[in-house]
Amino acid sequence: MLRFLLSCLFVLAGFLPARAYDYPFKNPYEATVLATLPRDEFPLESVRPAGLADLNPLRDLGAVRARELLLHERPVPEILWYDDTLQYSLALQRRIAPLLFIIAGTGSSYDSATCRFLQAVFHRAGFHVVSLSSPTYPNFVVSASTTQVPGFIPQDVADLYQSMDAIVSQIGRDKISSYNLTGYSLGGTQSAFLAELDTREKRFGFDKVMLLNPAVSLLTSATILDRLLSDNVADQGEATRVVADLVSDLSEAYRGSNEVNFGDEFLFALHGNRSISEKELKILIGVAFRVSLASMVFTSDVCTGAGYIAPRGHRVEKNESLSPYLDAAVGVSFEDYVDQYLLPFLAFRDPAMTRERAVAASSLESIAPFLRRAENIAVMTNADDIILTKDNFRFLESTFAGRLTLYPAGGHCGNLRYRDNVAAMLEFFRK
Amino acid sequence: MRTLLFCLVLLVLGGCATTAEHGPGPFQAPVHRGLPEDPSVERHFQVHDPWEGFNRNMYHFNAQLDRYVYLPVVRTYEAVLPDSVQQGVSNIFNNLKEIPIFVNSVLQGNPKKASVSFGRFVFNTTIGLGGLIDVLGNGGIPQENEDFGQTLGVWGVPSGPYLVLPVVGPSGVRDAGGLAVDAAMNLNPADMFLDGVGWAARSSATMGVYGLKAVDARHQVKFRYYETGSPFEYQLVRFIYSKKRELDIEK
Repeated sequence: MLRFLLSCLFVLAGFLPARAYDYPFKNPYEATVLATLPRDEFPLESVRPAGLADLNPLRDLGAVRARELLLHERPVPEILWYDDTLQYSLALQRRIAPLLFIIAGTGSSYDSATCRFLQAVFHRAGFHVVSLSSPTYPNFVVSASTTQVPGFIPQDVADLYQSMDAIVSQIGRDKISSYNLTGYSLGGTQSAFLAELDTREKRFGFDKVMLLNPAVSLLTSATILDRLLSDNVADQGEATRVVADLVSDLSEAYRGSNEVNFGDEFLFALHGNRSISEKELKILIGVAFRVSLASMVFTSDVCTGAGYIAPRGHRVEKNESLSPYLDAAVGVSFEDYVDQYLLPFLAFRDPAMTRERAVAASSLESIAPFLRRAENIAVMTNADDIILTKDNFRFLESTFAGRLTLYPAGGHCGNLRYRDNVAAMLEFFRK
Repeated sequence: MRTLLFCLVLLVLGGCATTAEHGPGPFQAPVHRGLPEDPSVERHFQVHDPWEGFNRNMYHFNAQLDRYVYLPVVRTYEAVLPDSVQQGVSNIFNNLKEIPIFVNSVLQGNPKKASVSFGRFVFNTTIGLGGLIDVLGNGGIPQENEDFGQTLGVWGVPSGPYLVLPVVGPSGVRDAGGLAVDAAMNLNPADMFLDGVGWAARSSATMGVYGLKAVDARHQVKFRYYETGSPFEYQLVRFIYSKKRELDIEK
């Protein structure tokens, strides 16, 4: 009897994880804002370089180069002169190697902390790594977007695909043994669409694809982020005041500390002293989303000259104060952007376009049959991800079944640099 | 000579700007969100900037200078010289900065910072081989950050309007004046050691050192124009610069 019980225990132990998941922030809003502390990050040194030659310290293993690529021969507005070329980063191996694309999340660049970290990890693990900005990032809007109006996923994904193809041509296809793809947040959603597009265009033939904290429906997730602000503050003035208070507390902490610089753990240290309330965290996430949206909206408006923010027919001069435009642009929620700018633009180009069609086309549900079949696509997200609804979780579970990894904590993208998560990503792409 | 160089730079920058004119597309948004500036709104992040037009032009000029002239030179410098040599060059120039830092710490009546600065200068100049090695910095005593602009601030001189200087970048009226005073306290090693040689040799060595100093200064600053990716970067930089100066003076 005892023997039987023991063997039962052994069998059970096989199903349990070796050790519990220890990611420190159990509150999803805290996780989203504070992300991963340096001490909890995946240790880079634990990834062995691919070969002996790479151990030579004179070789530049780990060198990441920022690159530029001219994709469209078209005039660029003077105030955006610096965005004429697409910026991305490249970390190459010296021999033939598999390639990994990383697509950044909403409003983020190829140089975001998450991109840089994952790029370093996978470059050490023997991959060529290309990091790309989100199609919602101003540089991408100006330099790589065909329409210069971001937010309609099929179009954004087509633009990403063109950019990836051009970058691969520059690297040389003969140096690449296989193509792999990952992306976080909106970049995760786009990765799924890219994989689907590739089955039709067939320029890469992706080996492995991993979606990190993807949005299922762009509009649903963006509306959740909109509401973080509208549900917690009465008006723009109150939101600004909350952020200003936080800045002044940060300043106070800076003045009182002996640290010469703001370190990675500065916000965390402040949080320890003063404890940022959940409401403040929500407002902070909402404001960050709004501000990055404002950059995108204004950039797009200047490019199209549509007269949404700047008056139509007015050329924004390089010595002109942009403060009135910033004020107007931060007032634009994602829903406003969709209804007042994106949809009218899509309908202008294609009169048959309706709101329902555009919204449906920007949801993973529109490619569900493909995703159900695609054994090479996996999803990593968190049970407390703040941008997903119950329906979204149900969709992910039913569509990806055994290919979905759900961590108990981490909020939205808070644990992407956490050791267990990165180890799981490495295992997935190396297998 | 310098005028000639300046003209050349202007010519290069002018040449870069001649692309086809950008015009509005056919689509017009059904809603216009632009508002006239509302003076009643509380502005927590506003900085006094009456010369915004001039400043923005200067910001634009600096960014173009950086992209087409300054950074290519710095990148070549970084590619040609080993990291250890670059670090040594930075250390030597930083060591010479201890003189204005010491003087300013004294003027601010801050004996702790003054003694740190004095100690760093003495040890790094002797044991550190003329400042080549930052002995005390490696031992955990980093350089203090003091300049005459901060000294004026401690004395109660208001910061004055925000001012973007050519090449140097974000500053203020008070801090720009301070820069001139600090520059006067900064020794050029070529002047110290080449006393006996002829005027021509000495002045070209002096220019060479200034050139190297300029390249090293850009090498040490991590800031890159438009790295925030936002079209509203000017406002952001203006706020952060002003806030940081305010705090550093109180520190």
